[in-house]
Amino acid sequence: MIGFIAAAVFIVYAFSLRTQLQEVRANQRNYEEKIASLSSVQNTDALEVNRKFLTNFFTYQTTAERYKIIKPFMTDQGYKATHPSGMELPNSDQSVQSSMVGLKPFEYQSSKTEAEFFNEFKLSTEFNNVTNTETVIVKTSLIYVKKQGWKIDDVEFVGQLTGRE
Amino acid sequence: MQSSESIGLPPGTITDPEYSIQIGVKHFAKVMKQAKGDIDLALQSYNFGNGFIDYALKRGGYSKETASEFSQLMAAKMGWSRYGDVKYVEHVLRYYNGGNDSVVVVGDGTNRFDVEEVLAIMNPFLGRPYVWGGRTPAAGGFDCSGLLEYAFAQVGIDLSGTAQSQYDKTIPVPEDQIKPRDLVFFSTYKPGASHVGMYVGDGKFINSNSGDGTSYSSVEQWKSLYPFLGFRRIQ
Repeated sequence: MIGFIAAAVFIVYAFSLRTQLQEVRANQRNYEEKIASLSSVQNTDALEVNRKFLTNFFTYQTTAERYKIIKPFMTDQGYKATHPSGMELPNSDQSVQSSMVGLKPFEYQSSKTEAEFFNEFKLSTEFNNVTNTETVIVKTSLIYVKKQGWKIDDVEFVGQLTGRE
Repeated sequence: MQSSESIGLPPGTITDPEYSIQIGVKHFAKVMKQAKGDIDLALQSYNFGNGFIDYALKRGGYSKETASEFSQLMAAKMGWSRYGDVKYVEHVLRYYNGGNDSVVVVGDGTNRFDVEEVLAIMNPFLGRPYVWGGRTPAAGGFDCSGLLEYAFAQVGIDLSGTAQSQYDKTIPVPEDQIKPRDLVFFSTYKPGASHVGMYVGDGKFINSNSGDGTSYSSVEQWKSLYPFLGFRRIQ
């Protein structure tokens, strides 16, 4: 009788161990998948998206073109950050054009899926056929969106290094 | 002005008018701070010396009687027949029209600006488009914080930075005490201040927004669109 009880306890214990082992294996598979997906998140991709966004946002012929061309690089919040002061997209018949050169991005990566850049570059703006050039600092915040890659989630004007009136 | 005495020199030592004004204004700003923004106390202390500030504060603040007592006390101490001008506050304030918002002294008195002058700087840009990052007229237009940064810089007030920076540089004002010159803040796309303008009276504020560029907008209408962060005053 004692032998039968011991055998039953052993069987229950063995099943319990098996269940725990299955859970551990399932967790391990999850972690392996996560690690694999994070390993594919390349920091250099964030740098490239940052560069493309800034180039397009600060090199434009018309305001409408400016806002159309940057949209693929942005999250919803990031897009709103480019026109935070009102419901409508900026538009203007007045001729304002700009171009940028000499981008120097300084990066801080707070996690595998979040990166921030302080970007210094020379910005030339042409208005009424008068061109003004100044060195500016713009901060960009990027996040990694699953299946979409790095996106601009915020953009802030930090200041000018030269040209302040 | 009390310029020479304020830096420990005998009266009349400074003869260059421009330098005299600089020293005098610096001294007045200092007594204004010490007087915690009480203009009567600051003015009388400008005349009597800042020793009057502690004397008056210990006696409940400025009054003509306190000024007269202090004058008699100091005259006796110095062996003079009289000390200072006990009616200095009255003499100065007759040049100040308190009912006219065009001259305003706020906070600790270190910054003064004429709201009409600031508006006169902004008004020529009405109709200019919204330009993200636009901080000077050369950009073709302004963004919201850029418009204020530029206009206030012309009157010697540093409001450089984003809407959030400008929020941090100002102090809250209850809505029943707002005046043209106070700033209005909204949270448009993320927590914190992301839109700013200057209140001009009649429920309106001047701002640069993405739809209309530099323009006048209704505070109530914007309140219905975005979380309102309140009115704030430049110190």
